[in-house]
Amino acid sequence: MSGAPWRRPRSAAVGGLCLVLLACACALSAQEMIVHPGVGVSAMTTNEARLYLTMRLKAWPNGVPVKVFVLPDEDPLHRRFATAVLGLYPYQLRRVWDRQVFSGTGQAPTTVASEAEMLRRVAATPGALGYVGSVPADAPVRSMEVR
Amino acid sequence: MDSPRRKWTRLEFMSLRWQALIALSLVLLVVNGALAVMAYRHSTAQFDLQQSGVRDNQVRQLRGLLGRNYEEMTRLVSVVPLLGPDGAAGPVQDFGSRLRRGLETEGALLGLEWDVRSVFWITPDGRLSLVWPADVSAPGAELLTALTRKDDAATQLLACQPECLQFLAAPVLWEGKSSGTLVLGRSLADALLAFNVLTGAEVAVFTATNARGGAVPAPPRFPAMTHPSRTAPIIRALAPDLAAAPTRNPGTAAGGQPVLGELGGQWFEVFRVDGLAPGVSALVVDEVTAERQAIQWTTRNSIMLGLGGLALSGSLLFWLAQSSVGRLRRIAAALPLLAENRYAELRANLPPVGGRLTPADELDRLSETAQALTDRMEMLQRDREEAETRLVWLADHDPLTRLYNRRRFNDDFGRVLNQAQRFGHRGALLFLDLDQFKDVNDLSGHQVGDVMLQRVADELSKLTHPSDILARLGGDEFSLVVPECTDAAALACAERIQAAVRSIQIREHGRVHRVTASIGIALFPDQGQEPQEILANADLAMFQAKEKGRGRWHLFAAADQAREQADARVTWRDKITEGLRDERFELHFQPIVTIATGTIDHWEALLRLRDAHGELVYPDRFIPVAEKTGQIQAIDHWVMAHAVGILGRDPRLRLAVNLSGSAMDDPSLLPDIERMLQEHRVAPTRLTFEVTETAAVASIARATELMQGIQRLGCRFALDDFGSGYASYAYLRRLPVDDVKIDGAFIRDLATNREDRIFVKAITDMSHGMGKQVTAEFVESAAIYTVLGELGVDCAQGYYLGRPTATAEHGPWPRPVARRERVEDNFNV
Repeated sequence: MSGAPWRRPRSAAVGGLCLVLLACACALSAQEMIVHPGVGVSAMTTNEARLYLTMRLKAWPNGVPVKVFVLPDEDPLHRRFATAVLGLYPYQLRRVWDRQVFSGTGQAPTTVASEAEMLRRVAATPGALGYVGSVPADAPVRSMEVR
Repeated sequence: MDSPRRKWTRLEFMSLRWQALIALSLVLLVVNGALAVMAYRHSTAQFDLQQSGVRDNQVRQLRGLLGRNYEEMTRLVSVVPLLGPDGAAGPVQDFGSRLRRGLETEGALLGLEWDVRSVFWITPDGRLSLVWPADVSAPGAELLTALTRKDDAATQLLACQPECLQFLAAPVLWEGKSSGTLVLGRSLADALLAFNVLTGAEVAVFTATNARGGAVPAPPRFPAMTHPSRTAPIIRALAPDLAAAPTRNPGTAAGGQPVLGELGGQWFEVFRVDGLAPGVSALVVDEVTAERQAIQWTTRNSIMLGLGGLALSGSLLFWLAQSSVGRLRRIAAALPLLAENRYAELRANLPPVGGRLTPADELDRLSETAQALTDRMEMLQRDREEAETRLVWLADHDPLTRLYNRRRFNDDFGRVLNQAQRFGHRGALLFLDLDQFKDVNDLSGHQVGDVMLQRVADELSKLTHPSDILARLGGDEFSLVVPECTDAAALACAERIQAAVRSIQIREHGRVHRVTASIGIALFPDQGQEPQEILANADLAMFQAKEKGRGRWHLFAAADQAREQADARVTWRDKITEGLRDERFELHFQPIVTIATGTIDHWEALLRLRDAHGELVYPDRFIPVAEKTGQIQAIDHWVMAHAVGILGRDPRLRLAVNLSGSAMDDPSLLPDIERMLQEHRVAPTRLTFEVTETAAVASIARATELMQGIQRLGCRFALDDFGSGYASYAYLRRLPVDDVKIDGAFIRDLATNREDRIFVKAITDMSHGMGKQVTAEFVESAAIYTVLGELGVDCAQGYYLGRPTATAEHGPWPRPVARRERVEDNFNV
């Protein structure tokens, strides 16, 4: 393994930051992390977000197990979320999940088919974590801020 | 053939073909089974060998890959301190805090790219000052001490608590001095997945808890497992076998004993690799479906091949045995026909011999033998049937004459008699006996006798109706039953028969044989109720007829029976003895007339025996007995003495005396005669001796001697019954005979039979030519007497001229004879 990947995260993070800013500006192609209302966390770092999404952190600080929901790899929203919020390409995420699943050392997140289902599942599952393009006003989920 | 069938306790019949096939099949099954087993064993051994190689490889690779993981971590340790923002806020007071910052910002990348699950920083005094990520449980004290070894080398450790991590503890130089130990905990995932990619085998790491001596070992935990969705069920399924499988000594490099199992149509081999770390082992799951299928396929193939071979050889055997067994079966199926005498069918069913391309074999021999046996059996059968029919025929018939025999005659006669009694019919039984038939046999041999009997039988057959019963009762005795006839008809029948029998002439070696029959007639049911009784009566009547002379018949009269019954009490021998002792013998005299003058030339003395009742018995009843018993000599002497005595008393008388055949064997006869003649002063010429032609010819030498002796005495000599035996003219010339007496058989029908006349004429002329006198017997009518005169015969003797009487009377001859009925004639003997 070369050292190149070690340079990329930083640039990715910078890009992600720009994208976040861009998303804030446009709010058109925005994406937002959401959690079940029962999760007692309202903000986290990118590093933490990465750890949660790669299922390394298996429980919230209040002890509720984390349930991660994602859209399929090809979904534009998933791609936007991964690159902008996590600073990772979907393939990197997939690689981590596959490694864990295929070696029996960890879990992969639950894949949902659509944004609407994502909302429904996150709202219905305690300790759930997911993302949407934009959170509807009356949705029973809580949005999560990623710093 | 029909022996009682045995109770078989097993199969009654099995074709040879099946027996051979079963034997062959058994052998082939055993051989092929053994081959299949060997093939299977061989394949499994090969498989085991191959797998053992594979397993050794896999163990090496697993350990190698884990080793590589450590190597990569060693390299990673050197870059971890570089994480974090350069020139981050605030001066870094020590390495630990710099590391913390770096991990908090970019630590996730370690996990993402290198699968580092935890990072610890241990200060030189052994304190754990950093644990990342925050929620990772801190390593236990045991682990901690293991990790912080006081040397400047990296420490490698695999620990599973709870997840399995490869820890690498490396001392870190910071500003020139060891500032602590950096510990990276990396998941096994990469190593395991790499192993999976390299070998294609699944691997599962597990921690054996309570592995030793535990009563109930806790189920093992699998912190890491490649493709768990596939692997877990396999391991679960094989868990019992795995627990039972013997483990190698922990610590050795090799894998444990493999366990083979099947799940969902796939085969797996699972073995354990011990000694990854204390209490940490791995299970390697190899899919061996293809190999197992190959083994199964090979085994199945060898079995199929064996079965194919079996079928092939079986069918080949069947095909080869087809012809042979087919032929054998045909023979086996055909042979029982022998028992049923169906020979033609059997021949048709037997397999043909030859005609095939193959050379002849045992079955051809068998077939040939069966054919030969069939032919033989058929011949035997035919012979047997012929013999049976012949036997049946013989049971009823006389083979010589083809007439009924006595047995059949008795049956049929019994039936006829019953019917006669039931329906009131009247019938007659005629009993025939050929006269002097014994002489024919003795002189000319039995062949001529047999021909004679056949001729008699033929003549009799011509005279009888189909309803009549004609039989030969034995010897020269015949009997005829005429079921419905009157007395007169029976007598007429007897006449016809006698005429027919007299007509028989057999020429043999220049001799002519003639025959006459004496017939006894009994009427039924008047003269007897039982067949045997009637037959006995007819027999008796026949003897009566014989006493009258040859060629006569006699109708049974009740008086005969009474006498016969009296006679039966005493044997003939005793009667002859009595007769000689009590002087019961008499001489009767029959005149012999000179035809030319009609005067009596001399008398023939005929011997008679007066029985106890005063009835006369004729010589044919007692002479044969006397000849047998030797009394004949005494009789001969008595006759001589008596005749000579009579001649001595009556000087005018000339007598002819019959000598028996045995007289020729009597050396004392001639001296006795000479003595008697001298004693009574009788001229020898007054005495003529008669010997029958047959007796003379039987011993020609002795007869000649006797005759010469008699002629020396001066007596005359006559040859009696001339023409009936074998007497040829050569004998006539050689024998010193004075008189020739022609047999009565040629004389009886002289008036009507031309041949007889020619014969008598020839004899007469010949005898005259030789200077001998000719006398004819049986002259019974004037016609015959006249013919005899015409033929030139010298003398005649017969009923026409005079019956035998007790005294020799003298009177003029031929006297007129009162012609009475012949039938009555016969009643008054």
